[in-house]
Amino acid sequence: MTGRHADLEARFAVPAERDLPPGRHDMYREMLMNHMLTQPPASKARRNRTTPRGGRGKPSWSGTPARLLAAVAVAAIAAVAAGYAITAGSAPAARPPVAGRPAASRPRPGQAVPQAVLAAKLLRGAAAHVARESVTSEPAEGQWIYDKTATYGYPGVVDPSGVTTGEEWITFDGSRTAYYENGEVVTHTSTAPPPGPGTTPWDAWNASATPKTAYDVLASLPASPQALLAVIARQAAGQDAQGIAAGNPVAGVAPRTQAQREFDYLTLILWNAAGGLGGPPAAEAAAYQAMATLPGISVEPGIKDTAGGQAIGVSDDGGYDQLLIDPVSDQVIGIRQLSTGIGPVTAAQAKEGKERQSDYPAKGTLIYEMVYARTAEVPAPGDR
Amino acid sequence: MDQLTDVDDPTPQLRARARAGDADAFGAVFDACAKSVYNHAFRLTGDWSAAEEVMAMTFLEAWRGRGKIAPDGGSLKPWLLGIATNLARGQHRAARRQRNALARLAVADELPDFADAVSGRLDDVARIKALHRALAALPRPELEVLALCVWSGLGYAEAAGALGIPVGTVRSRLSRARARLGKLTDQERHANSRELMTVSDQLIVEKRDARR
Repeated sequence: MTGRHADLEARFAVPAERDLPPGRHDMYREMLMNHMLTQPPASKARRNRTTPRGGRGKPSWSGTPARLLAAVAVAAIAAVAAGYAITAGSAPAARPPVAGRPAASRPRPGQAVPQAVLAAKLLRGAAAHVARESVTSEPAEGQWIYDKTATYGYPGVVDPSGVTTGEEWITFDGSRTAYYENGEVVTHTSTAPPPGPGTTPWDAWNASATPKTAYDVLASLPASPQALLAVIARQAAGQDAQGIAAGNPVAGVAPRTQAQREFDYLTLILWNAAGGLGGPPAAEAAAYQAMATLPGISVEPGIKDTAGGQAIGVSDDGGYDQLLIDPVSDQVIGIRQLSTGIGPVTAAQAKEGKERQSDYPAKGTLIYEMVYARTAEVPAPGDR
Repeated sequence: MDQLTDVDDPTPQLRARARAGDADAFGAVFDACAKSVYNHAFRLTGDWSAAEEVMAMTFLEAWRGRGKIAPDGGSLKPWLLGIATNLARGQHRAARRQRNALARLAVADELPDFADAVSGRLDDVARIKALHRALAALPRPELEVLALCVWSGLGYAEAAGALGIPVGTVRSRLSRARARLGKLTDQERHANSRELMTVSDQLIVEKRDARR
């Protein structure tokens, strides 16, 4: 006390200062240290996101089941996937800055963080999901959701190249979508019949992947990571491995291990749920915790995404294919792919001794990214 | 690490290290300032749990905003108290989400209770609540200046830096607060002190009942 305010000190005396409760100082210190290890500095360019979310496809994908849209997202780089090869266990090398796109912020690109740290990060993210305020109940089936996306494509590899933006509207049940065409908002209604009464979440999901069916499937998952992964493993077992890869926004190739299969399938559901308002907070928390237990998962912090925000990339192949998570809201916001340095090499070319495309971007170069710059519940298509 | 021993009077090197993202430097700052931030937050919120969360959030926010640390200056405590003051207002959505997350983590850790300190903390809560009622005449900005200058002992310049306002504004706010509080009649002050006693008495009765 300065003595300058002795009158106020006397009149409004406060209790003596206390220490934190036993154990709390060390606990919060450890949390801080973990946080500092995994969290990059905040970007000055904050995302203008009224509700946190992940996403969907571009307007031209309207009317296509969302699960297939995920495949379309990587179809632009399908040629890449065709000859995709991964150096097992290695993280991508630091990539050179791409023309027209700023280099990623610290830590350096491709710096994957070990799984133990990921687990800590994901657990925090999971808790954030549980506590999320913006989505407390399942949206109405016909609720319109607006999103604005920012997409980057490497010139000569992905078309369109450079940074492009898009806007789209979709109802939560996926039955209607809207987009701009020649300056006018066009609304499209799906001809797919809605799930009949009594349809189980999994049957509805397998019939049509929409934000709602993904939401309902997530809501049906058990909370325990082991039990959750057991359910995912059963569901994934009924799917063709190539099909999982094709439908997954993150996986570039079919899963090779059981952990990859479960990660890819879980990512598939999360991504589709993010196409609406995300999944039930508790269910997403459980999913994140389950992902953290899978071997071979890595994260890349410090990504500056195409929309100008910060992101963390989660991957099961050493960082080449990443699901992007907002480090502030801990919600899925995008997908990203880095070059393996090999490029599309067909089986026939490989037989002839060709190991890589000579002009393909160097290993670790960003070749594709799509992130959600903004999303919001709106009354009608055309509203933002 | 020798430069981290006196974080209340940090060297320019410590500030530079904290600004550059040196985790060890931040850890030392946490060790030195967590208690002050915690108690400041309690005095603003009147809730020990909320104070714990605000304290934790303060350091997360400090890490995020470490680029704002000026190369020169004294203790980082005023800056941290300023962050805590903003967070205690509870008006930032992201901050609230983070606070909830932290609260859940704290619960999940199932740390041992601290029953022996509970009664004292309840007394503290009663006293702070009563003070808040007595200070209800103060607009929030004036209460915050009072909390920083009177309760946390910051100088005018430090409080100004903490809140990001001119020194003159700190002076005027405190002056206005003093004027407002000066209008309390002797009767009101008496009522205030009686209220404090009454609340304490009630707590004693409740504790007695709880033992039965």
